[in-house]
Amino acid sequence: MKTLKSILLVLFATSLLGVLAVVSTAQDEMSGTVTVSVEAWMVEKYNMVELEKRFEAAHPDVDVVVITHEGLGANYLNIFLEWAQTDASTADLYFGGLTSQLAPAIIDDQLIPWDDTLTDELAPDMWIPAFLDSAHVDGVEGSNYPTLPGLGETMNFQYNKTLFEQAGLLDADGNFSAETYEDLSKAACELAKLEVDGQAITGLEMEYGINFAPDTWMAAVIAAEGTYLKEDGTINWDSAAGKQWIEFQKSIIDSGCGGTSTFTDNNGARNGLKAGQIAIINASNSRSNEGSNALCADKDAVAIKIDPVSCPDGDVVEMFGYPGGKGVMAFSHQIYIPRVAKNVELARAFAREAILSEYGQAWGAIQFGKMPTIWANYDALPENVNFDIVRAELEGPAVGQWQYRDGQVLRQAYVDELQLYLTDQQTVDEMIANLNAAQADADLTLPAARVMAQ
Amino acid sequence: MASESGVTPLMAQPVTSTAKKPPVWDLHQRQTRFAWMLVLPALVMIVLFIGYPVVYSFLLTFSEFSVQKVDWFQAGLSNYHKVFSDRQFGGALSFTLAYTLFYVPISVGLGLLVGVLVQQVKYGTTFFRSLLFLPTVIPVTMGLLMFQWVLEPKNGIFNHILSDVLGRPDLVRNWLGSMDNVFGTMVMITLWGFGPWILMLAGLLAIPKDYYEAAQVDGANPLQEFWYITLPQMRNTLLVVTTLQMIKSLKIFVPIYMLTGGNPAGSTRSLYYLVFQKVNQGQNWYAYASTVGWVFTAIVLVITLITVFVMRVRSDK
Repeated sequence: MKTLKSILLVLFATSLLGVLAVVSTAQDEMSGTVTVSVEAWMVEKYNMVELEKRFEAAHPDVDVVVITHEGLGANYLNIFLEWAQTDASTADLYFGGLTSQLAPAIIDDQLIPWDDTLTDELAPDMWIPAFLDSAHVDGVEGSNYPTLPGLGETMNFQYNKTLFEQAGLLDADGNFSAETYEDLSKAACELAKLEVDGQAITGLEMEYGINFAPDTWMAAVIAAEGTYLKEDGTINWDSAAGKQWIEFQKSIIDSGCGGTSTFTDNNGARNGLKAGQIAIINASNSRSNEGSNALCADKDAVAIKIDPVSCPDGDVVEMFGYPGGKGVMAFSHQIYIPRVAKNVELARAFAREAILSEYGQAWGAIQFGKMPTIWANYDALPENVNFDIVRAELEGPAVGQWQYRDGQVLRQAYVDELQLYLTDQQTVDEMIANLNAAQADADLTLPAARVMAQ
Repeated sequence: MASESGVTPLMAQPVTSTAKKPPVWDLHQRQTRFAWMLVLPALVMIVLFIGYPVVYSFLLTFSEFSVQKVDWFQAGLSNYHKVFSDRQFGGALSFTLAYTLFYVPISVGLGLLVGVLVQQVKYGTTFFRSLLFLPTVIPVTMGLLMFQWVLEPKNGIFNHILSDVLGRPDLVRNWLGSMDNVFGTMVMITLWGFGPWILMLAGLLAIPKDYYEAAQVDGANPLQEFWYITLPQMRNTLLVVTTLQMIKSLKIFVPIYMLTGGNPAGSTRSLYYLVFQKVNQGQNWYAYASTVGWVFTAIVLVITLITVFVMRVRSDK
């Protein structure tokens, strides 16, 4: 009897140990080092240090190394060359880069698809379509998502409510919107009459540099016509709405109601908005959060912290859309893994658990207006007028940036030709003719011969 | 002659072709071999990191480049044809030459003038000379960012001084963002940052003081001293400085990258900056960008050779 009891006890203990071993193995199966490369500005604006800490706390045997890369077109080309010619990559996971910049790598099939990762909280129907659609590539099933959208933006106008109030331009609800470009022009000229602390205010500062000029054109045409593309997938430079937009920009400059700092300074408009010296800018929606936080009276409240809050007195800077309302231009910074990466599983885990987590996406949105790309993370945001405006935009039709292999050529061509027109060195018709000529010479290969969704 | 033992001493033995020659110590050969040993590592580095890329980029101008492969010599002269028919190339060449035409004489002249003035200073010599070192000591990008803020149209201190301190708001300009002002502004900024102040001062300080003393004894005035002593003695320095400033101005890139991005409307796009922009556009454009670079190199070489030749002819006269 005693012997039987001993045997049973030993068997029980052995089974228990076996179960514990299986459980602990299942929990700690991830180990090793994962290198994550982000665009330099994202370290602060996406709180990468905190994301790294949280991921390592959840996986004690994993070491996360965060490095940075420059967000320039030439630098991305160098990265793609590195992968192709050395069969190795500096990082396992990359975060940062627009689909227009990543087109060469997608066309050359240098990225591991995410299709089999799109499950549970990352299932396709959990994403905001305006962002996920731009990452989709037609082609072989299982290879339709070479990148995933990590943070999103829409293009609209951001305005300083305090200045609008001083100029008497707010409606009964305390907001502003422009039905036509004439409305916008009148408002800009009224605001240009204001002076604050002895400084004249710039009514409307638009984007004329490589950062956003082409995107504002796209946004204007999408709002008026629903898309900026022709049926053959090429850019409709002859669009009436596009011509109207360009002429509107010139009229604002010529009337003295608008500035030209973005001719040479890509940050001229946002800096002026944050300084309270520009009443309206026309850029990505995150500039509204940035402006509100900079102009918020309670600086301590909005100081960057682990759990950020919006300005307690409400947003000083709010947004309105382009006249037309037929759609919005939405773009996003992508997350991607090169085929030559060493630690693919860890890279996928970091993307899922850190970058696309509720904490990560909500933090970036509240602190810097970098919008979530998953509806559940959007729903986690606090109530805020600007978030509501962007939500309404994202629930409607949206079109992304062009993704040709020579996409950057066309962006540069647009900036060059636009500035020649705005400085009276050519007519608008010459500008459009030159853009058509540039497009005719460019390599318009798309990822998997895909036509942009309308 | 044979010794008493009958053995001919070694030294008395006749030298025949089969006899062993004593070792020859060639000092020159040993020195040459040693010198090669010392130079070889540097030579390998130069070949690997300069020679190879230079040859590669030149051959690329006749080829088609993509990420997967290079089709050597498939493009023929088409890249060169594209360059010479590119509107942007014409614009960049115009700006580069115009900038050089203004910047070099102004920088050399101003450098000489400042050097002469600093040389005359009797009190606070160290302070004034250290001012000349300031642009060299401040990191280039920091200095340029400083100018971006100083010249900012609304908040920059320069426009503030003009309008609020001097009471001349009519002089306020968009110094970097306006077609009318950007060229002059770039010349002034690069004069500050890249002027030949130190080289000129060093050349002036190397002129023996005896010459000036002798001239003063002969009754020469300051202008005569400058014309008959300073300028001739500065001949070689001026040749070097002019050549260096010319090469520097033809290669201008960092101020454009930091301050204007080649704008407004491409008006400050230099040839160097054009190469950068073309590389930025896509891998399909690498061969084209190489071609722009080589055409530019040829232009710089020709201009530099002409300048050196003209200056040598003048100085020989």
